[in-house]
Amino acid sequence: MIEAVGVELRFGEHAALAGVDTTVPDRGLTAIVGASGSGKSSLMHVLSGLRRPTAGEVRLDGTPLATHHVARLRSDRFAFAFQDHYLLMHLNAFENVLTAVAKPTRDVRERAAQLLDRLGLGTAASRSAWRLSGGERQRVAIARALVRSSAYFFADEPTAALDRASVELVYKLFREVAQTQAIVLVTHDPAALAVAHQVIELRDGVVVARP
Amino acid sequence: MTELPRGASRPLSLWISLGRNPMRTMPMMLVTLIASLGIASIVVLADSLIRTALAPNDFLKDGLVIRGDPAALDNAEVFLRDDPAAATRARLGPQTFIRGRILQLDSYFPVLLVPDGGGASTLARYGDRIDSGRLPATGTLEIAVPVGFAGGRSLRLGDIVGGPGDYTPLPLRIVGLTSGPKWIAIGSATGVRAAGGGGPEAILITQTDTATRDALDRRLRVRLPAPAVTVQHWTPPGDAADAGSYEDDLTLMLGFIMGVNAAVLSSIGGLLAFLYFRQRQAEFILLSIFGRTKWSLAQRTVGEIAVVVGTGWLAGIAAAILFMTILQELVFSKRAIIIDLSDPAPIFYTFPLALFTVAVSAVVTGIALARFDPIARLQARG
Repeated sequence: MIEAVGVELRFGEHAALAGVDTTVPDRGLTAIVGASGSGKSSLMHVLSGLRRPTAGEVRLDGTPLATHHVARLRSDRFAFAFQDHYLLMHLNAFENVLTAVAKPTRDVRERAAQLLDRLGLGTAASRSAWRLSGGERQRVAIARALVRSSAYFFADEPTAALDRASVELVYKLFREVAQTQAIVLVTHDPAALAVAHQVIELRDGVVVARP
Repeated sequence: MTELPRGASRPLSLWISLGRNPMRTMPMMLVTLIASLGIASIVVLADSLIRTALAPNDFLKDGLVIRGDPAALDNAEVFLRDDPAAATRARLGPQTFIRGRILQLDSYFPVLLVPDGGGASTLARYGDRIDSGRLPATGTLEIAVPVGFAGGRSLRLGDIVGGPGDYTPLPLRIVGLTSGPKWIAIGSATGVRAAGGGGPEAILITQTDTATRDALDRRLRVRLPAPAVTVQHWTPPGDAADAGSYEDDLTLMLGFIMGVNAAVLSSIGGLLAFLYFRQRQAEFILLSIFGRTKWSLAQRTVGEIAVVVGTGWLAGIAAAILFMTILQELVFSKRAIIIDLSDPAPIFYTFPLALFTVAVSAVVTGIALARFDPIARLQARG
């Protein structure tokens, strides 16, 4: 479980987060919603250790996140997907998914193929990244994040570039994954609220609604 | 078992990154290749000019020379006959110097006059062999000359050297062309002596082993006392000093060329390393998110640069060898210039260059990575 206690994040005079208290359970889908500039991405970055809070504390399983080896957390327990896909253009879709694992075993390769298939990319798996559409690239980035079966999956607007059918595929997969893992989803998409187990709504860096 | 899509099992491997991004790696590889090619070619050429300049007399470095009147030398021959340290010896006489053309300049080129039946062993002693034609026949005015020497004067088998305009009045027919590490010409001692009359002569004894040669020198001085004969090492200390000074000047010149090239190449290498880094920021953000430390990113980047520069360097050396081979065939062989393609000097001069380029690239990459904040970039890109 991840806990945020009195978390503040300031960029100079601007407070991106102002005293946020919240928790992310170790299973289920947590949606962070709010208007643009409300601090959604900032909260995700702080919860995942990408940013250290200016004040307050984030704890992972009761231990301050700051005491953990951040690089090891990112390689072992956390996975990420962003609005920008960060695919390597010299690799194909399947290879891009495998980049999440240092030494992909046969099991990992099979899981990668299954994830691509589940996300509607079965026939595009061997296609170069530069030949994929924006939506396809986004789905490859999601598969890449999920291939490691990390305990916590942080996703920042991962469905922004997707059509409705693709979004449905992604949410269906998220629902399954959330049975065993925690997903923290930053989104503008109202449809995400239907699959979320909890919703954190932010306004000007402050939590205004939570379960 | 699920049928897997096509793809590399280790997509983040260095070789896939290098192999599939030729446009990213080519500039640095080409710069290294061209610099290595240029410097290696200059070094080979400079070394070749030295070797060529020294070639006509280089074989004498391993020798002792006994001078005296013919009768005294004949007595010395009796003594030398039973000394294994003097097994390879030849007579030198004033009429056995022929005109050579080395580096477009006329020069004296000695013909070793070997005793009957001694041609093959003399050649073998110098590590040389008959490349085409045959050894001179006993008692004739036939000679075998080095291929390079013949090339310098456009001579072929069957041509006659000597006579008017040459340094010997004897007409010597070329019956063999020799090749090997030392340039030597050999003729029949009995043949030349029969045709050439008297005159001061000398015995050249070849002995490459320094200790054996010094011991022989001491024996000869005891057995053949002055003034009937004199014994000397052919290469006096002054010559060695001159040669050393010559080489020092050349080393200084090459060092300067290398220094200028190193400065230019490392500046370009540093710039390219920076561009290389900039082109890969998305990849570095991704790898940081996967938990790669900056140190591992630096190792990966510098490793790739080392492979690129190393490949460029090796390709440059190979290109220089190819280039020099072509030049040798088309130009140098006709001017008696020796191109030694097995000369390791180009490697010694260009390897530090490649190393320096990698070092500068590593520093540039290190600075760029130290300033690189993947999370800030991530937030900026979304």
